[in-house]
Amino acid sequence: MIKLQYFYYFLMVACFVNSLFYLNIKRIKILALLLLISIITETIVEVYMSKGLNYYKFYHIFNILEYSLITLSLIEGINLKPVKKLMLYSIPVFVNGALLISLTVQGWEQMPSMSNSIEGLLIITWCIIALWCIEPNDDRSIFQQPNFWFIMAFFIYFICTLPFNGIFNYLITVKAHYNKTKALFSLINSVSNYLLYIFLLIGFSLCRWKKSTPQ
Amino acid sequence: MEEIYATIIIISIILLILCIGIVFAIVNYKVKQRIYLEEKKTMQEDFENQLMKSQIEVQEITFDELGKELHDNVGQLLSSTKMLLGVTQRSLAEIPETLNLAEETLGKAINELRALTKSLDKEWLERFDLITNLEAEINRINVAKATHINFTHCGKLPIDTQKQIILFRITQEALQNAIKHADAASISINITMTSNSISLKIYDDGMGFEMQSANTGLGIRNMKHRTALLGGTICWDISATGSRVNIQLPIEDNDHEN
Repeated sequence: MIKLQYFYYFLMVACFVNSLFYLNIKRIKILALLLLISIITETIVEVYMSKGLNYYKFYHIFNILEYSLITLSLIEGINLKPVKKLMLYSIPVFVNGALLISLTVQGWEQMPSMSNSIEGLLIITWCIIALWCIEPNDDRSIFQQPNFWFIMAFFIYFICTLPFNGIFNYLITVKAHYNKTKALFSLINSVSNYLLYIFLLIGFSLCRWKKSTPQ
Repeated sequence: MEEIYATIIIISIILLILCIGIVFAIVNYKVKQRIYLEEKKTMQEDFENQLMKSQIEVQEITFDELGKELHDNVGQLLSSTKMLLGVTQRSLAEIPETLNLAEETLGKAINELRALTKSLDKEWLERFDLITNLEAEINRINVAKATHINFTHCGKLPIDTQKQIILFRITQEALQNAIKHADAASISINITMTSNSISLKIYDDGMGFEMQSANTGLGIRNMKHRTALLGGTICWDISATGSRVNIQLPIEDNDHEN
């Protein structure tokens, strides 16, 4: 039986292909890079998984890159200078913190790591600020603005995964809940990823629509 | 079980707060969008006004130049032709009736040309008010006897010269439409005034005209733009038995000072 996640791999590739049409927009250029890194990571993970090897270390590295790139893409839509600076400074702090956690506190073999939760909290905060900073440049509604969907994609993804990431490592230790926890984690992860890529695709479609119907 | 309920309640509260946050963000966007659109509209209006002012300035300069050219070149040629006709008349023992008629017609043409150059001359327009200019223009048209214009007004208008020139050009355009395109035999111009507005109505008994046609479209658009520049409104009521143009202009506080 084909795994549920394979469908969102397809959506991920579709998002990446779409992003290539708008590389002149800095935010989308960063998203394209993020999607490319995601595709490479997922491919490596699939290979490692098929060989029965531990692949968590790739996700540890991916988290660092993911946070940096999502933050950089969100900075593009923020017009408050102090917040921009704060977001920019948070990247090296997070990178160092995440590496420290992976190297000393939790190790490379445990997933989701604490840095996932920190990443989620920070990105949810940046997304809320970015939502407030969407500047109208025509008379289209907020739902017709690509930026809204790009922000909502990350916002919803981290809202869905953050609570479960936080308690997953505890639940997995309870033997009675092991199978259910694993299944639930897989389900939540898949649904979140579907929402993430569907929202990103809506954003790219709106980019195309805005380009074809300028005001 | 209690722990599960507590977890569900906490997650529900967090989701509710987030939903409220999103709703506020949407409302915030709406408010920003309204401000943005209002600013954009104001900027667009300012731009159009500036553009229209420049166009009118250029047009007035062109009219002025045209008037001078007509007066200096065509006017001189007609005058010297009239002088030559006079010399010819004097040299002939018996003057043919056609020559007299030619001299009379030429005289009329010279007078018409003078009146026309006057109406194109900006300096002349600046010296006199709209009523005087309109009266001169109406006299010029009435002399031709093809169309009769009846003009009623309430005296000097309390608006500055620049605005009076614009209103004069609007009226000229309306008269041209009535004479050339509607083929009117009789036109009525009526200017009334209240403490805060001026009303200019032009009626004619012509057969009407197509507002969107290539001949009248540009003129109609110019009239609309010029009226908008004065902050007023203009509307047409066109039928096969006559047309009516109604122009309403506001009188601003600084206009009263003029």
